[in-house]
Amino acid sequence: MKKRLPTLENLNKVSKLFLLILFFGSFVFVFSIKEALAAISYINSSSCVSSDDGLGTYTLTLPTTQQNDLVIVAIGTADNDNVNEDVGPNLVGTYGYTEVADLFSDDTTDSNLGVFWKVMGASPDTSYTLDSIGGNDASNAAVCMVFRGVDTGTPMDVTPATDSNINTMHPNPPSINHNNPSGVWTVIAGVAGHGINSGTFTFPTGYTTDAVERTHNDTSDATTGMGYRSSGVSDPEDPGVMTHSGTDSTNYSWAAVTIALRPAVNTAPTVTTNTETNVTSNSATLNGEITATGGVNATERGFAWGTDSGLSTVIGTTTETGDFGTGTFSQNVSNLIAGVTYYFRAYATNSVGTSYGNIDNLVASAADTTLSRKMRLFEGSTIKFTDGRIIIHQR
Amino acid sequence: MSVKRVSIIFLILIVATLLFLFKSDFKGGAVSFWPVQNRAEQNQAKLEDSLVYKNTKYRFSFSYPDNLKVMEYDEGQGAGTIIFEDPANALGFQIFVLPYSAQEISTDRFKKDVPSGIKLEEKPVTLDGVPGVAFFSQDGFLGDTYEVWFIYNGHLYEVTTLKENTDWLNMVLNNWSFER
Repeated sequence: MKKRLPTLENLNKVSKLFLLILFFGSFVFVFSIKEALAAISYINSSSCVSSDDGLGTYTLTLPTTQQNDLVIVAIGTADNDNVNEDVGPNLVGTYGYTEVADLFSDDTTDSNLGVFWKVMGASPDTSYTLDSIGGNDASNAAVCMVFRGVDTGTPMDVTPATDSNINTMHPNPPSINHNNPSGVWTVIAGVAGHGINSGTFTFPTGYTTDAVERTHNDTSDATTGMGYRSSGVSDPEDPGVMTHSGTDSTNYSWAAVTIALRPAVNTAPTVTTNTETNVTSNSATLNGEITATGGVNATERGFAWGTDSGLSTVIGTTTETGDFGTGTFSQNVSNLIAGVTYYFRAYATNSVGTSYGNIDNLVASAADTTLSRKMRLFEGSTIKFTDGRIIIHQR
Repeated sequence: MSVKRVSIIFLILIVATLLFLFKSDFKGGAVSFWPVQNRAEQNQAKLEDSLVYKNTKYRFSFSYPDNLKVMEYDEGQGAGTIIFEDPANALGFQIFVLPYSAQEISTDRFKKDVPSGIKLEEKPVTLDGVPGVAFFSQDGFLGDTYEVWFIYNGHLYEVTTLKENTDWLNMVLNNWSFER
């Protein structure tokens, strides 16, 4: 008696529901393994000030960074010449930064604020030579912060919000209406132009952890600060005031910026298979390159190779584990057979997944061997011809 | 019975005798082809009782009589020798495979493997679609030999047997196939 297979019609409701969940669940699974939202993390900060004469250059030394880290630099300048200064031009021209804001607040003590960002490449920057501006009575104070896990293509979720004011030295970073509340971080940067020679900011609630500030004392004094908020970010987010510790005056001014950082959507690395080298009769060097990390470095890279043109079955894989950014890599394969066509492709794996390069092929070269044939047929026997017949005697 | 009728009967008998000699297993002639032909026929039955030899390194296979003993030798540098032999019946052949980059067999290679330098009655052959060459030669140990050489996939194949086993070897090689 044949057993009938169940059909959709005779499945009960629970079974149908189970199948439905399985069907859509598989889609969720397939898409979830291709990309994953990265969490932004704070790495470190640094700061510097110009020399007291406000002339020449000064150096901003960066914290240790790695590829795809986002560096935000804020340069605050205070002077009393009522001129809108061009702050940090060489950060853009020389070091490849993108300018977020160039603000000017004109009071007895003027405030200039320049804010810039850059995603670190394969060879991250270590320091910058900044130009002092504003003349010999001016102060220049620069701060920077490094973040990881930010979308390297569009790190600013929306256009940064800016504001400035006079008659007070308490920067009030403006509210920002961002697009992506899930995982977004807000960063505030501000400068206070004053004349009290020193002082620090009290950062608003949620922005106090790891906040960095630096004051430069000259005729006009500048306090530059930067802070971030990693959780509890509302939409829109209104950070609050960076309260300066000094006694306020109507002669002072400030400028401030609010930035919404967009978390990276990490993907599997992008890999290409490059042309093989050093091909011999039984070995070859396979070459590949990670051309993009996908937002997070690979932890494994290597090659799969075999004689099947689609590599549906492979003879072997070569694997190297470690922390791999973009760049070329090579591995040797041996025990190849001369004349046989081998197919291979590079691959790399990060926390999101594995991706493969194109399938290339090589033919192990068949260099003529120096060997000569050894007659092994009937080896160890004697061959005699008797009456037209061959007789082989085994010893 | 007339003389004419007797002559006709006699002539018919002569023709019938000649036809019988050509068709039968006649060994009395000086032509060497006949004994070889007979050996091949004799072993036809044995080939039917065959085993399949498959070489995973060089990727080929063929059927061979199950009375043959098979031995494989790694000669180094990617070369190898495979022996199929039945000394009791003086049957056997050797396959020598070596990496080879050229498309034609060079004089140097030929002299290296056939020190006698003898190549007689050379004729083209085909093995599973692969062109090659067959010829008679001479080996210091085996004496007169029959050789089938061909180049495939970066390798030179040299198949050698006793000259007396020519047709038998051809029969074995007829079911040679490469794994493509």
